[in-house]
Amino acid sequence: MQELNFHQKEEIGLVWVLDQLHPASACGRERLRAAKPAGPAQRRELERELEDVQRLVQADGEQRRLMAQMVHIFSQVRDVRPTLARCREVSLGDVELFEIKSLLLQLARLAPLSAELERQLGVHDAAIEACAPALALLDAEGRGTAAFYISSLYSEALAQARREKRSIEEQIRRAGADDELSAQRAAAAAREQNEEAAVCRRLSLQLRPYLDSMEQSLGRIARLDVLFEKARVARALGAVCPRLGGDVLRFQGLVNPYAADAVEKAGGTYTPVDIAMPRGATVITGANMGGKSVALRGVVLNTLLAHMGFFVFARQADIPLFDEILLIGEDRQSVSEGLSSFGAELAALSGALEASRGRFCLLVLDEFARGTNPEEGRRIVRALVGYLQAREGIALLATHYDGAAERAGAHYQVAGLREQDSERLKAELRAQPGGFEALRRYMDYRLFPARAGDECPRSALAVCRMLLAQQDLMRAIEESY
Amino acid sequence: MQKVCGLDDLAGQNGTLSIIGMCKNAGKTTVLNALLGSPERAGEGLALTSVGRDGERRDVVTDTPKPPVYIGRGALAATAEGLLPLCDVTRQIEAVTDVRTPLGRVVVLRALSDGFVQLGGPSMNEQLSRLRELFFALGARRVLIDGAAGRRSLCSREVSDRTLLCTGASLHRDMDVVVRETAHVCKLLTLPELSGSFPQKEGARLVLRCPDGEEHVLDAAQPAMELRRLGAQGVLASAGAVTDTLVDALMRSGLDVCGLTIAAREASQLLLSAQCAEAFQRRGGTLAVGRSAALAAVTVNPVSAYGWRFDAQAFAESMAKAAAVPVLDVVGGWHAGA
Repeated sequence: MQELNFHQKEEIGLVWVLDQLHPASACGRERLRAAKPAGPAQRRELERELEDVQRLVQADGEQRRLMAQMVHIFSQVRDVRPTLARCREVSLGDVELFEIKSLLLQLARLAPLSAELERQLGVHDAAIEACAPALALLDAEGRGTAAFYISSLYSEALAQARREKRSIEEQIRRAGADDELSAQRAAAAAREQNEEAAVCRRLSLQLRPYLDSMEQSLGRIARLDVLFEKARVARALGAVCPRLGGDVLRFQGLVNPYAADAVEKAGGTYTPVDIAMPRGATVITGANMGGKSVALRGVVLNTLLAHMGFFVFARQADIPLFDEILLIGEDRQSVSEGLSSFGAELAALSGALEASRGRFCLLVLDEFARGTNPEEGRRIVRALVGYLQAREGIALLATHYDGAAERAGAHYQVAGLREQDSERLKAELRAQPGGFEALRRYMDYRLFPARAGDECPRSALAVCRMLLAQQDLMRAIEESY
Repeated sequence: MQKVCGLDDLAGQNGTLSIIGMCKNAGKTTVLNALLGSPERAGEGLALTSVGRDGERRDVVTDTPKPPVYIGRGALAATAEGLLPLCDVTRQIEAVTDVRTPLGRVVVLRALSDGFVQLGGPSMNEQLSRLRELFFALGARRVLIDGAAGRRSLCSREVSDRTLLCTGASLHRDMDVVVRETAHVCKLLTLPELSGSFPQKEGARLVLRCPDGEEHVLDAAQPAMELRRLGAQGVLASAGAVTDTLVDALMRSGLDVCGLTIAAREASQLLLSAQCAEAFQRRGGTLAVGRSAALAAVTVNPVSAYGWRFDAQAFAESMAKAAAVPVLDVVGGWHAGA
């Protein structure tokens, strides 16, 4: 599946959602960074992932304490995968062996906790192997402490070199260092270093049979770490498990949490929307500032989240598995590269249609052709809706071009402003110019299925009346209608 | 001449002692070794690290011979991974820190035998502060931090409880210049602390606290103009370093600084030259700090790495006259109380 660019991920709120997750371990953070949407071929994995999130969401107090204990250990786990990889090739030094020993100690503590988690909640692939024989290799003296040293127990030759070095050092302590003692000590130290290197080589070889298991454990830690966070965020923000499959994309009570957060911070309340998109084209029309784009982004965000094994922000959601999820909106980058905004849209559309040929895709277009002249724009969008209606995938378009929805399979309108509210709002805006929160309060963001023959609402004049302070300009606009 | 006793006192005290130098080859590592003493003493309970690089046989910058660092079994040391092959103590790895240096990550080892170490540890105060906590958690009672030339920020109390300032003939061919420059730094490091809290405002570089207690944020681009407007009385507190540029600009603007105190948050952030500081004080200005450094003593090295040497006794004596802290010559054995 193609990925959205960073700007798009930011715009739809995916960056915001991912920023809500705080995995404790370095490999968990890495896994989250690398997370990509899965396609229909990974349906089984996705379902398992969602089942696991569901189980963790339902965890009781005792089970959450168990998870917190594990997270505490996760936070100490370093990503030693590069060291494990080196161990397959070369001999490790004492610092690297120290790191592996630290990991093994953490695995030993995680093993019983993860077994308990698997037993109580049935989370898939939760069991972390303790790798006791590997730990025994690196803890020759059986102390169970994090510190590591190349023990004299590993080799008699090493013990011998250290005894000699120690006796010279004792002489230096008694008599001070002369050239001869210094030279003797340097020679003993060199023998010690040679023996240590030999022990490191042997230990590295002896560790090799356990490397796969350690790597697998690190992978499981990363997965559990991200899973715990997915569940925590789902609980905190009230997300639900989507039903995967079918060929209708349907949300009830759909929320774009990124936009909701902004609205709530400004003191407003966010309006969830209901929308169902069958195969073919679905069109949303409605008032300016009526939240068409917010609804559209909410659809893309939540569909993507489901494909990434996340719960979705809605009361209920049916999400078909798409081969591609494509979003075409204003693309600042192409514009800055010299294409007109309409040219950039066309290039993106052409690319998207090519990418979706013969595949089941979600194609979302926000105010397509807004940058060209309205008469041509209207014709183009109408034709595009007809074209997309006849194709395999699901398309969703927001537009305010008249008649664009004629050929659509489904048509929604944003409720917008009620007449009586618009007068009151006008008064409020007069009293407090620039008070856009008031606009948010009065605007009805709900989506309703449009009736046949419903025209695109003429709301631009009403919005002008509310936001323009220049009476003379307003008069001129009204005269031109 | 008095017997050397100050250094032993210093070496025996619990807490963190940092060593900073007026220049390269001021004798920091010699002082470090004198502080370490015999391997029996430089063992259990001791921890050490270096902000620069220590223990190599020749200085990699000036190519002059340097004393190696020899510690006793039981001591802790923090050094870069890349320097471990050059250490010959039998070692136990106690921790691998997040601090990265050009020579690899900083590792904490415990010496299981006597032997040589090469040190290269963290350089930022915040990292040193965390390393110090780690040392104490691993059982250290005394922590020694060897600084780098010009790294005065080490004497911040965030990092050390006591500081030794090393100076020597390598700073300048003229002994009077060495004494004057060193005495000036001593003076800056031992300036009185402001009474009351240090004036500060979120994100502001310069804050003026007027005698009536009111605080104003100044535009750091034109402080003189702002000060003239506000009366140039009270405490001008700088969140960053106080440099000649700032103080010169105030004096050149013809501002009456009589009644103005310029304060840096930490003594180590007062980076004024002797000339500039004296000119400012002659005009009636006062210098102060939010938090003074705990300067314990000045050590003198009469031998320059560049071929000349001063008369050891004359050097130590005139240094003792000029500085308000004890002066020690760890090689010559000269010592004077403040």
